[in-house]
Amino acid sequence: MNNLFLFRRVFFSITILGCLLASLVTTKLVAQPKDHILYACVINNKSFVVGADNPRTGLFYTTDNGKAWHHMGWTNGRPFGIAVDTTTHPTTIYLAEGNGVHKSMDGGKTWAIKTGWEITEVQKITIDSRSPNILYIATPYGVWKSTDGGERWVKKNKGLREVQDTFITSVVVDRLRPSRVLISTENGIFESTDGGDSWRSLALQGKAIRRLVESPMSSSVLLAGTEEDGVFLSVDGGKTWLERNNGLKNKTIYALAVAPNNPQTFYVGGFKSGVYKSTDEGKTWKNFSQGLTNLDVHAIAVSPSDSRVVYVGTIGGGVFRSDDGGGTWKHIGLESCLVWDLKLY
Amino acid sequence: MNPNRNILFTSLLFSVFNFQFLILTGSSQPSPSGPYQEASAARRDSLIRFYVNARHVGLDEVAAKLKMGVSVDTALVHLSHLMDKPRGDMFWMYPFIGACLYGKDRMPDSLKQKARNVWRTYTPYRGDTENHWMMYYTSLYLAAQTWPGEDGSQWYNGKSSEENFKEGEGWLNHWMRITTTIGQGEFDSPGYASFYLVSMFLLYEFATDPVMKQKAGMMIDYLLADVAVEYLKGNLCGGHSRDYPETVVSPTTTAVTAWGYLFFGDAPFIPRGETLFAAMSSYKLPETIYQIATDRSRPYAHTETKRVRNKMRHDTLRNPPVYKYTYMTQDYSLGSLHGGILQPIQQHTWDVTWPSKKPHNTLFTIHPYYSGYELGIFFPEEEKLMVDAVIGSNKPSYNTEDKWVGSSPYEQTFQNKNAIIVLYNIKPGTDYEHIDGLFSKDLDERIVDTTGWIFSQAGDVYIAYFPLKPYEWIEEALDFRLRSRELKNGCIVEVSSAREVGTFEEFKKKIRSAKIDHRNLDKDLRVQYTTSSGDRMEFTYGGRRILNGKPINFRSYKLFNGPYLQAEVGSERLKMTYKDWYRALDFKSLEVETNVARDWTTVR
Repeated sequence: MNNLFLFRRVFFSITILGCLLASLVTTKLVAQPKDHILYACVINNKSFVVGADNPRTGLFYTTDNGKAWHHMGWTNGRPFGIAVDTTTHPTTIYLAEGNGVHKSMDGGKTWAIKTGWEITEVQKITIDSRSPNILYIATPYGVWKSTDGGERWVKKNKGLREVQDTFITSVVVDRLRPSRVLISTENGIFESTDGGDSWRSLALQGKAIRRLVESPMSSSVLLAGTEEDGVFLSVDGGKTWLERNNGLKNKTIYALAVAPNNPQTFYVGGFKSGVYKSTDEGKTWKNFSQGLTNLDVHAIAVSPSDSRVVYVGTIGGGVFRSDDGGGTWKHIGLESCLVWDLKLY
Repeated sequence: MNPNRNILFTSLLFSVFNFQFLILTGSSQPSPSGPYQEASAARRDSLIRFYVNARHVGLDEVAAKLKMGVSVDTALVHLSHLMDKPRGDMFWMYPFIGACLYGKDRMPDSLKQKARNVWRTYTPYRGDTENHWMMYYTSLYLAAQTWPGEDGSQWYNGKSSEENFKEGEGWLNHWMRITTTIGQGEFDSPGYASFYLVSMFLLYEFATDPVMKQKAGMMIDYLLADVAVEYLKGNLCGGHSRDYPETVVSPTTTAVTAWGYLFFGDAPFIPRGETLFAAMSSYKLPETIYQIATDRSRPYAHTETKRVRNKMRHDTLRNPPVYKYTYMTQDYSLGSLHGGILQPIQQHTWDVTWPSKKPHNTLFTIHPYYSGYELGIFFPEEEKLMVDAVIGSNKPSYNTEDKWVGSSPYEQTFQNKNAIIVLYNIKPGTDYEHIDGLFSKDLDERIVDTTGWIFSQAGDVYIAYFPLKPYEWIEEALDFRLRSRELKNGCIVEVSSAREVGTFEEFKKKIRSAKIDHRNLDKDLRVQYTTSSGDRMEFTYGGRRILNGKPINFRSYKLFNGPYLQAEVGSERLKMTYKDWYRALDFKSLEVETNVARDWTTVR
């Protein structure tokens, strides 16, 4: 048992070292969208044991397409999601972590935990784009809201039934009507029209929603990825939903993205799926996984400045990049890592 | 003798908090039971000596040397080295703060400053289980107490001393309240019980707030009483949460065994750092608890309600109840949980356990279930990803067909005293469609009777096992594995001892005459069994448990109920009784009431 444990420790230490070396050696220089930083939330690898000598986890970033990955913040954290407030200088970074919300106000040099013992296993953090001090966090125990940049948090579960509705996987704040907030849960999508003070079931009741995203082009266009039922599309702000699974062979969807400059182009991925792409608003999907050596896709990010540039974070395979809209993929680092979230800012 | 009713009330006023504690003592006391205190002190000394003289020097050993003033210079050098590259999160935090507090009068200022600085530079993770949080918040509370008045820049998490202190205090109070109202989530764990105890011992010893100190002392009583009532000579018996493959088949090798050595004196010596901190503390075990742990002169049935740890998915309740039933005698124990998924990965649903010098002194069955569904109930990650993650996280047996720990949604029990019916209703298509029974090679006998009963003997303990469906034996290194591959399945088990029934032959004869009706097993999973002592048990899987014509109502279960411990759900009050002695803990008023004069009652 001890030998096995030792072997695994050594194995994964080597793997993580390889992860960093591989990112230095094997990545070809490709054009990085200018001024964008790619952040990767690495929650663990498969050997993670609380209290053990784990490989370094936490927040990594690259400014040169993965040629070099840098670590910031805690070396033993479990970040599930990231949000960056670019209206401040330096940028303010929020991490949705296993042990609460981590905040850095100096671009990642120093960090503080902004939540207490009541808040744990934070899955996602969402900034109200109109009022960056208003934050929502999605947790397995419900929604919390802060109106002062994370200093104080208030639980906002009115209208959600304990356990059944309180596992929150995403929060979307309507860009045009910030008092309207949507959450995805293990039991469909809920809506609040009073800034999270109360919720009502809106759609897809009974379906476990893994991710809800809003189109960067139109706040009325929403995509939902589910545990068992594939992809759903709404073009009316979430009131009605259409199943969009034509061509999808895998219906467990963890990640979705709408190309910023091409609103008809969607990317999705999930459990053993690789990447699927649609150029007709989800009416048909084709698999775009050439070069993708790990098919468990958990995060997708499309460059705001060049929608042909797409990044994928995988569970156990690190980060991949495509420069041709998903036609081919190249590994750009964090090999063997579980990349839970990717964001470009 | 009736309990003494002539009670003297005394009160102490703690001026800082203007908080009143009551000391209640009997004016005439039950007589002490021999040299318990002396023997206990000797065991404490031997444990401390072990750590003082240990060659390997970790934080536990440093704490012992500094406390005892032995090899102090060496200990300080080691302590300094151990600060250079901290690792282990909360498993580092608690022995570190413990070593610093026990050594504070021997540490030079420079080393104190170095210790202080570690709390700024090292970023311990809080973890994701109840025991993690217990160690984490206890340590943070004591560290913040030790270095008060400092702002967030001086702490790893950016919070001030006051904020960290309040956060630690807040969670500790929450945990004490929930534990004394609906029970522990990591309940009765033979391994993890240790981490709750050591945390309470550190708080009891070093919390300067008399309220926290009082609460910690009461929680030590509470936790040790919870162990004691299901303890049998080094074994924590019956169903429980969080066990490991190695210890579940060898229950006299657990952390609780180490606590048993220290406090109950009838278990083998197993050095564990957690018990060291207990040995070094000023806490004195109330003799009532000692007697509860060791007096098995009369058999008893004991029930408990515990809670399922936080559920995130697939339920309507965050913490549903766990119903426990344990039957204790001086020769054996039979204990069980009511069944289903009550705890992820490491549940142990039922067992027969008997004291023995042989290592594999237990018998039980299991359906080796695993799934992303089970993990999804308790963990936030996506269900389809989690089985691989758990296997990679130091639990490689989780999805194996021959594992010995784990829950199953297809398992239910009905126990009455020394008899149990265990039923399985395995969903077709489940990865493993069999049940396994552990028959240790340390059993002296394992005889398949023509009646269908399997009779086993371990010294003076007799076990009768009736398999409800065909099975095969698989010989393994340490055991004979009974494997039965039917979906609607189960067993009936009755246990006795030479003291109760006479010879093994007489036991077999009695069992052969017991009535079993399992004609309806395949139809509606119903079994009737009339025990050798005449109790009629009727059990329908997913339906009622009926004893002598009367349905069992789990909802009426108390938090603790038996001859030794009594507590109502939601009460925050536990009463321990032993013969004419009693000891009551009231967590609302923080009163300790006892009629045993020399047992501690309040902050020293």
